[in-house]
Amino acid sequence: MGETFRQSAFGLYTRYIRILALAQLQYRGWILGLLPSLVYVITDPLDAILLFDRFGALGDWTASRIFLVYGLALMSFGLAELFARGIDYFPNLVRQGEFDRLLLRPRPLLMQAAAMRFHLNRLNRVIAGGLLALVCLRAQGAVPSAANIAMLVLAVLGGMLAYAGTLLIAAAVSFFTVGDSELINLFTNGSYQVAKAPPQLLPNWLRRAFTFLMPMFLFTYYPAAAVCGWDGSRLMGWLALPVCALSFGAATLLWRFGVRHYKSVGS
Amino acid sequence: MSQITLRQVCKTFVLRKRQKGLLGAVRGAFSREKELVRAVRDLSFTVEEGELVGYIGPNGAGKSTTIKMMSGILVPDSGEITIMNRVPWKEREAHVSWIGVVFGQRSQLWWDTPVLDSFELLRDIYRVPQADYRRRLDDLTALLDAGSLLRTPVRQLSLGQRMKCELIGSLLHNPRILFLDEPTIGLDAVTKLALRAFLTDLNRREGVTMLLTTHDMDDIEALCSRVMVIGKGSLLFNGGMDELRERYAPYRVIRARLARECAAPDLPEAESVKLDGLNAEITFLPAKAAPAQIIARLAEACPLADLTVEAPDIERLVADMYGEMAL
Repeated sequence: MGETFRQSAFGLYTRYIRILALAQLQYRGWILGLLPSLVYVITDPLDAILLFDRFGALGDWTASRIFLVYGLALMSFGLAELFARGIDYFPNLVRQGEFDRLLLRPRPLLMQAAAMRFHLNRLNRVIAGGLLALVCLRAQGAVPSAANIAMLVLAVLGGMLAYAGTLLIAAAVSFFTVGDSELINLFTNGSYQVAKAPPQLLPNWLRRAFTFLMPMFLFTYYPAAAVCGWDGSRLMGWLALPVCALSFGAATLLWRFGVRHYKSVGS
Repeated sequence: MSQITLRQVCKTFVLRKRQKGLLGAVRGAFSREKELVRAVRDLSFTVEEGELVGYIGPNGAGKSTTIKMMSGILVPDSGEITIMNRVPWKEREAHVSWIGVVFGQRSQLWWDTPVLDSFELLRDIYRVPQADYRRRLDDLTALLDAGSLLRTPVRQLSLGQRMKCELIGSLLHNPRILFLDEPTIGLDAVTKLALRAFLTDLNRREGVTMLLTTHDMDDIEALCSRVMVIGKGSLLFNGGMDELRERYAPYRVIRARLARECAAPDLPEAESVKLDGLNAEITFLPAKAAPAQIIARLAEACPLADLTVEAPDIERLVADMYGEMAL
């Protein structure tokens, strides 16, 4: 690897991840470590599978529709957890006073925070979500055109940003208050559970919350609908990345505000 | 202009008090009693390039807060801090590139991987060119005799070995200023001596400015040309070690062992005379009374078996100072 790359922010991020991954490979149990989360990922959609098996489709909503939406959400969340695990862990970091160490290094704080933790087992969600989405796309007879592929890729990237942004908000809040922010879990772990239900059947407030507040349906339902030709406008399918990038940007501002607060108050 | 300048720096923390027990915890969720703690008040001092300054004070006196403010981690409520012509928290990245910080109680190395992995990551974090890194690492490991530690995972190092590695890690980027927060805490005597020798040498050869906090007065005596004492957030003393002694412990103690029992000698020029069997302890002020005279009068009164003149123990001196602060 060239020195310039190594010293660039992105190169440095990969070096941080590398050292953490190496540390995990040192323990022989790392393969075992994959298992629990794999079991969790596989068993999680069982309830929906059994329901569909027993009762068939819910109106337009067949199993492959539901699981396409769910798969996209799962993959996005998995990617965010894979690359921004450190942000998820961040509140603990602040509580233990470890944030000081980040401040002592001449590098952007957000990059350092994201790279503080890395867990290989988070790949489970990415792979499971991706496979699920592929199988469902086939079942739905989606056309693998360049535009469709681009739309789905951008949607998943947007989803990753949206989830990373949500984790970042939790991190920013931890500068002000010590304690668990269970509320945030509603928008992370809770959100792809919601993806298991057809949005039309959700109460209005819940659907709106997951379209605008945490724009999950923007990066799952609408791109899927556009690609598979269900209903609604194709334009909605393209909105995922720009909207999610905006929400990530807003989360970044809140985080910066939190850092300023930390520096003036201490922990 | 001085390398480090603090001018009337103040820092107050808000402590939220919670009552114990379940009821207290529930109540605390809604309203909390606040207490203001003035960690640092009107603190002013300067440090010149190449100085080695000891920064001492009891626990909670404001030492760590000062170091955190100088490192750019905390922003003072009021006052000015200028280090190498920069305001630390305003130009954080530029500032921290030139300083090294070692916390005795907190590691900056990656716990599970060999030390060398941490060093290489630090090399990239601080953008040290490979050739410089290589040379620097060789120098530092040779000086600290740490070559055999590099392939060991950090978690398997002893405290002393880890401290050596922490020092190397904090110096790889060639900082001009080194802040050391209790670097010798918990170390054995041999490692302490090795670290002191290393720090002195680094300070002489490279002119690295050092400011260290410690509770070990031997550190201060061995290393520091100047000592600053902080108590309750303000500077109580700022000067040389001799001056500190003169101001706070000007007395000397003569300890004599008498050859046979005799009556307490009459020594009007001494501050106090204690006689316990064959042991005599005479405290006097060199400014008021010449030691030779006191010893001569003592020997006249009683034959002496043994005799020493001692300066007060620095540990004791500081304990007295801290005690006075608490009043």
